[in-house]
Order: sequence, then C-alpha cells, then structure tokens
Amino acid sequence: MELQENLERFRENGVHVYAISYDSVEVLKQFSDRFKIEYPLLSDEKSEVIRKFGILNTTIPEDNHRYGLPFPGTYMADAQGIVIEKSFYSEYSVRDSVIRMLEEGFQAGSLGRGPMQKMQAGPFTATASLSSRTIRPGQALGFTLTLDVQQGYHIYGRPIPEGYVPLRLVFEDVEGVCFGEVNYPEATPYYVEVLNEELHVYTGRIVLRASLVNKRKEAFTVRARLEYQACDERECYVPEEVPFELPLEFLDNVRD
Amino acid sequence: MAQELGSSEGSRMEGFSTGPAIGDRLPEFTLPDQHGTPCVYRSDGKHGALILFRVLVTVL
Repeated sequence: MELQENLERFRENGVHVYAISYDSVEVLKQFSDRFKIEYPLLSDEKSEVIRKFGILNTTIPEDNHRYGLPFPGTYMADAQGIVIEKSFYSEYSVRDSVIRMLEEGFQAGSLGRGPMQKMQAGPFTATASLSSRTIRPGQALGFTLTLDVQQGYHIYGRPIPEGYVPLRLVFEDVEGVCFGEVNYPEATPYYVEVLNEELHVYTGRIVLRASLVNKRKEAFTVRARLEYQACDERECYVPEEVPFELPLEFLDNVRD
Repeated sequence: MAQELGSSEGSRMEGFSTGPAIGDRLPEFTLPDQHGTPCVYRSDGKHGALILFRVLVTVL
C-alpha cells in the first residue's frame, strides 16, 4: 500500500489522489476498510469515465464478463488539469513507483526538477526544461520552452508571408526516441507600419510545449534549436538560432 | 518486462488507447467513492491530481 503510506506527501505537495476501478462501491468499501485507505477509491462500474478518457480495453470482446475494464494507467495533472505525465503498461500488475510519480511527476521531494537551461538570446530570455531528470524505457516526458520577450520587441509567428522566419523549435533526432509535435501558442495579428503589412507575432511570455517518448535503454541528451526572427518598431533583425542541450539520466523500469 | 503503452505523442500507441496526451486537459468527472459519496474531479487552479485507473482495486 505504497500509495496510502505516502498520501501525506501528496497532500503536502498539493496533489489530490483518485483511484478509479471497475469494482463496485461494496468491493471498494471492503478493500478500503481492510487496508485503511483514506484517499478516494472511485467506482466506475458502467465504464463511463473510462470511456470518457478513451481508455476502454477494446481487446476484450463485448460478450466477455470482463468487458468494460480500462487499460490500467496513471495520469498526473497540474492545477489547471493539464496532463504533465502519464504511464500505461501492458501488464496489469506493473505500475509506476509512487515515490517516482511524486518526485518526477510533481517535482516534489529530494530529486528536484528536471534539467534546465536558461540563456539570454537577442531580445528574449529562454528557459528550456524537461519534466524529469531521469528517463526509463517507455517513459514519456514533457519539454517546456519559455521565452520572455523584452518590451518593444516581437517575434514572428504563423501564419507568415514568405521571406520571414517564424518561431520554430526543432529537435535533433535521437535513435529510439520519438518527439511529439511542438505546441505553439496562437500568434497575435500585428500591423507593421513601416511595411504596411499585418503579420502574426509573439510578444511578452511565450510557452512552447512538446513531449518525447523513450524506447532507449541508455542515457541520452535532448538537443534542440530554436529558430526565430525578432523585430522592434523600426527594424527586423536577421534570423537567428538558439541551441539547447538537456541531458537525461537513465533508469531501468521498476516493477513493484 | 511489461511493455509500456503510454504515449505523449498522441492518444494511441501500438493499437492501445492511452487517452489524453501530455499537454492535454483531463476531462472532469464525478464517481461514487468507497462510501457511496459522489466525488468530483475538476481542476481548481490550486491542486495537482494523481489519477490512477486500475483493472481491480486489489492491484492498487
């Protein structure tokens, strides 16, 4: 009952815990009483939430008594309800270590945050980080790049006419690592008087997110470059690139 | 070794659905807890959430 034993640590870190299963309320009550479970054990006998999440185990035939079970997995979400980490395993008995979820998913405890790189580049400060300092086979991690653009400057976004360079984050290929699409915020239409043209730009804080899934069995470094073109009220500057390097330590899978 | 199906690149990997991806917003829900009391999950801007889906409660 690792989860119950560490429940206070989740509370201290402002994390609510929910466990959902296909069991009836009666079964959950018996289990809860027997093991003195204090966090909510939720009954989804009709698989409504399981379907809502899109994790119904569709490999089980509809006429089988086990139909309605979920693919077992875990989500970690931030205070806005955004998934910051998740894990699913093909074997029901395998799950993430609770301590690992707490320390790596929610950045609590002694391990701290993942690798971070901060630099000044042109008219902005760029901070790149990963959601964990360690990586396991099959694990998914989040990559975040935050740009703080100085007042009076803007960075080109999309859509953009030919001849301009929009903000673009490009990951260097790593064998056995799959990088997801970069999530760009929507750029704002901006009238450029000297060009007599409306272009889409970013100002202030810009947050780019992406994710990666690892299938390697050794440590690696996430390398990326940020392409951008910055302008102020009077002129546009030549396109630039900023490189990032974030090393990850390797951990083998843990089976509880 | 168990095959991990989790994917942040989308909601599916190798034919298995793993639901919302990293960066997606989780759906809100209400389910009865072990005491039969409705329990609501929705983001409140203050608390993170650990949500575990298990086949049976006994493999928690």
